[in-house]
Amino acid sequence: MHQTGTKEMMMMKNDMMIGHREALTLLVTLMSGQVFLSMPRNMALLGDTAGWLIVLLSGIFSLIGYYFLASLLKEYPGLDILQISQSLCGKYLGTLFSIIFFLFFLSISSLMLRQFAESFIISILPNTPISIVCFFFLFLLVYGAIQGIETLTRVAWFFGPYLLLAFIVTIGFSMPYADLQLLLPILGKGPLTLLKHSVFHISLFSNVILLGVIAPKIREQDKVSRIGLYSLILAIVINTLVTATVLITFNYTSTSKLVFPIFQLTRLITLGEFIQRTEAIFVFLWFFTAAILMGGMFYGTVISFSHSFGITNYRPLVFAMAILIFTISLFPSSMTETVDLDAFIVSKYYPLVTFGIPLLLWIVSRLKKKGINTNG
Amino acid sequence: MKKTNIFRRLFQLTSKKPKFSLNADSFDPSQNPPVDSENETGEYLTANLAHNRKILESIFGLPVNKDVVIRDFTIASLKKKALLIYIDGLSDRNTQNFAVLQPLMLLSRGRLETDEPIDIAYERLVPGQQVEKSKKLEDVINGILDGSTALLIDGSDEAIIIDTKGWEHRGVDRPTNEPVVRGPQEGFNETFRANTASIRRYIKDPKLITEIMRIGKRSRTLLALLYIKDIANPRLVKEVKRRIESISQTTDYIVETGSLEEFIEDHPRSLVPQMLSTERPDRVAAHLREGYVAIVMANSPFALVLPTNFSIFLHAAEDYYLRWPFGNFIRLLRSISIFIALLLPSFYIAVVNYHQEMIPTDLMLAMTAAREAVPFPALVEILFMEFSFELIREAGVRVPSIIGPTIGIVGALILGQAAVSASIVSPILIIIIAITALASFVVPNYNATFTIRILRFLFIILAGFLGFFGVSFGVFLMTLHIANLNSFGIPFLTPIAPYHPENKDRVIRPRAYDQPNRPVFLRPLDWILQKDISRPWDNSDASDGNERDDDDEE
Repeated sequence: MHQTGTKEMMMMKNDMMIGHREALTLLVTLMSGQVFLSMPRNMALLGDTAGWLIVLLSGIFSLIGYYFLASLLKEYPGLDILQISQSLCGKYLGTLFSIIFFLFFLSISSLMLRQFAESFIISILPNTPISIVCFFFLFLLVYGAIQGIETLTRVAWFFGPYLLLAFIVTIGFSMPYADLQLLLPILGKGPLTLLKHSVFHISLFSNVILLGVIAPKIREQDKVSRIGLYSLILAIVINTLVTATVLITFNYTSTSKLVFPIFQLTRLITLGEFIQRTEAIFVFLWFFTAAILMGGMFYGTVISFSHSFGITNYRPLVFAMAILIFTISLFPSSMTETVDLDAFIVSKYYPLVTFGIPLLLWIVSRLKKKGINTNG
Repeated sequence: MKKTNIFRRLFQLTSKKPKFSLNADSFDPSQNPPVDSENETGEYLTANLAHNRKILESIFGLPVNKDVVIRDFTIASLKKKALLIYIDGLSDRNTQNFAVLQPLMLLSRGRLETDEPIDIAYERLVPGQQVEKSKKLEDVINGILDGSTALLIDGSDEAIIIDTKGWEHRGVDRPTNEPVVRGPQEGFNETFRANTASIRRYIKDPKLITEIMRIGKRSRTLLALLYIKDIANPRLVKEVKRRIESISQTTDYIVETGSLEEFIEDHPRSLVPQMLSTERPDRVAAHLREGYVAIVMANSPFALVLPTNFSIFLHAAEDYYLRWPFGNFIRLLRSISIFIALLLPSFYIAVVNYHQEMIPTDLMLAMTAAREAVPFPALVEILFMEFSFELIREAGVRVPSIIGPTIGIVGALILGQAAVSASIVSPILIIIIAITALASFVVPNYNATFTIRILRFLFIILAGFLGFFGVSFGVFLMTLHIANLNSFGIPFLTPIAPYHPENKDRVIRPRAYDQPNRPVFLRPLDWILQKDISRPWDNSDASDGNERDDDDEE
């Protein structure tokens, strides 16, 4: 009796659907949450004055990469990317792909956890041990994952407008300090370097892969590919604007020395004599972004793991996965090492997962279709 | 008294058994077997009056039970013995004398021949306006317990239940917890039928259904489920009924909508109330016409409206009675005050403990100077003050009204002047507490205030540990929880998240005529609240003469 009750409840929880607006906000938050971290600084390091162009161009490249994911999802409605890979490539190869996805999500969650925790310690809690900060984040991740992705998307939608407002306010209030001259030379280190970095850094938008995981839960199935497209475009606009704002407010050399430039940017905001340092208010929005971003990635981790090993109920995995993520997040010895690891080493392999596997699957599905056609 | 007696009492060395104790020995099930009246008596009445009388006597515990009165008499015209049974104090004497006994005993003189005396009595002898026949014992018992009078006639296996309800009760009064300046000044009271009738006075719709059930095995409280048949979603009505029916026989005693709420709500352990309890019939009526379901219970001056969403924290009846800008001004004020009531003390703690740089230097110097003499950390200080404020609040509710003003004096003295001059708290803290208190009184729902009052303490503690990081953690956790809540199948944050563009009554309410849809998240049978034809004269496309006249003048 009791068991059936809980089963029904599980069914109810799993049956709940995501609205397209909510999914869109979640994806945008996932992709532009990283501007709070060292993303603008990394771009300044790579491209000097053209850092913002790298963001823009890699965004455009990732749009091309996204096309394969979108067409796959369109072809197999009601299936997520992990199920598609298993049905296309068979059990063993599909499981291998799922495990690769799991590793991707695991690495991104751990690195994000570490970086956000470090950023909060640097900015507002200088004397707090990192394990405390991580614990509070992990608490949210576990709670959010147990409640399900629907809740997280609703929260994202609930906070979305405020986050957008915060971006606009930050950009607007730093305009008095801006100098467009600082964007010159416009192509930075030259067009070839620019193009190379843009191609190699489409990982900036690799979080769009979560759409592949949540796609079957979206209520309007015909809007799935549009959700991804619009969220990518919005994220490209936000990320490019923020990077450009950082570059024109501080120059590129100073930007490359600031680990978390957005925080410095919010410090500039003053409203008359009274409200002078509002960055503590921004801590709220920053926190919400961090929690939503990590919540989404954590959900991806847990789901991809349970898919890899055929576990139908992912909820018991949540605690173990939280501990795993925490442990991995402590591997790098320092904050700068974490940042560099994320930006320049691990992230090189992200596009292979998030855009490479969909491309592979897309080719396989094309071939299969052709095979059926020629056979038939 | 003898000296030795006193001595003995003082130094009683032998252990003495208590004179009376309810220990385990006092109950011997073999000695007093549990009385189960349902097993002894059948479900139906018999044709034998003496037997029926015996059954009823055993059920009501006569003659020990003095509440229940049995009046034997003979119906002259039928030449039959009969009896009346009722509860003294619940039924109206005048009705019994003049509408039941007088016609039966005196007025019907002619001889009436019939096989079925009960039909004659029903059709010709009992002039009461609400009379029903029943063979079921259960109906008779429930009728008697409700204050009706049961008439049993010899030779008939049916009883007539005559409505003679009439007891002392409170009159219709102003709603004490939800007063408004503009709008109806009438609240529910403890009388069941008066409450249902007052709702119906607002909705004179034949489709407004009042289903009546009983709840509680012993309390047998009457409960009315109200909904509009062609608006409310039948699945919602069915679910509410299912939940009520599932507890109607399993529980002993449910007498207030407050405890019913706990039995049927979705998340009993959540801090957030998931039903709207209101004492305003106009508010219930307004919800009913939108497709909600209402529950009214006898003896409870609060009705439940379900399902509900976050609006219990924000919306009040008056918002809709005031003009659009005024109502929305109040709404905005209220939403700001919710944030203040929840977060202001924790902000203070966070700023004082962690983020001193946030406030201007002058203010910070003033605050530090004020705090200089205070020996406690800010966290202790604010917890102490919040606690004493909660004390005043609770004492203000419980204190007998004669000494009520004392609370004000004591509270004001303790919280105000004395605490500051004794350097226990800083004056700025008093301001913070006062604003928080005022803001928490603005929340329109009594249940919802509790959520905010309790959460405030959690936020204070979080702020004390981790500053703004802790507060933002708390806010995010709260939002996660609220986004996950469900009240009878609708998400608590709807129509914000999940978003429903059709319903604009969220924080700001739309103009009264600019609200074409019922809440679509309730999936009502009829979505259209009002058609677009409201205010046709605003429509510039209207090809009536006025438009042309204006043009001519120009």
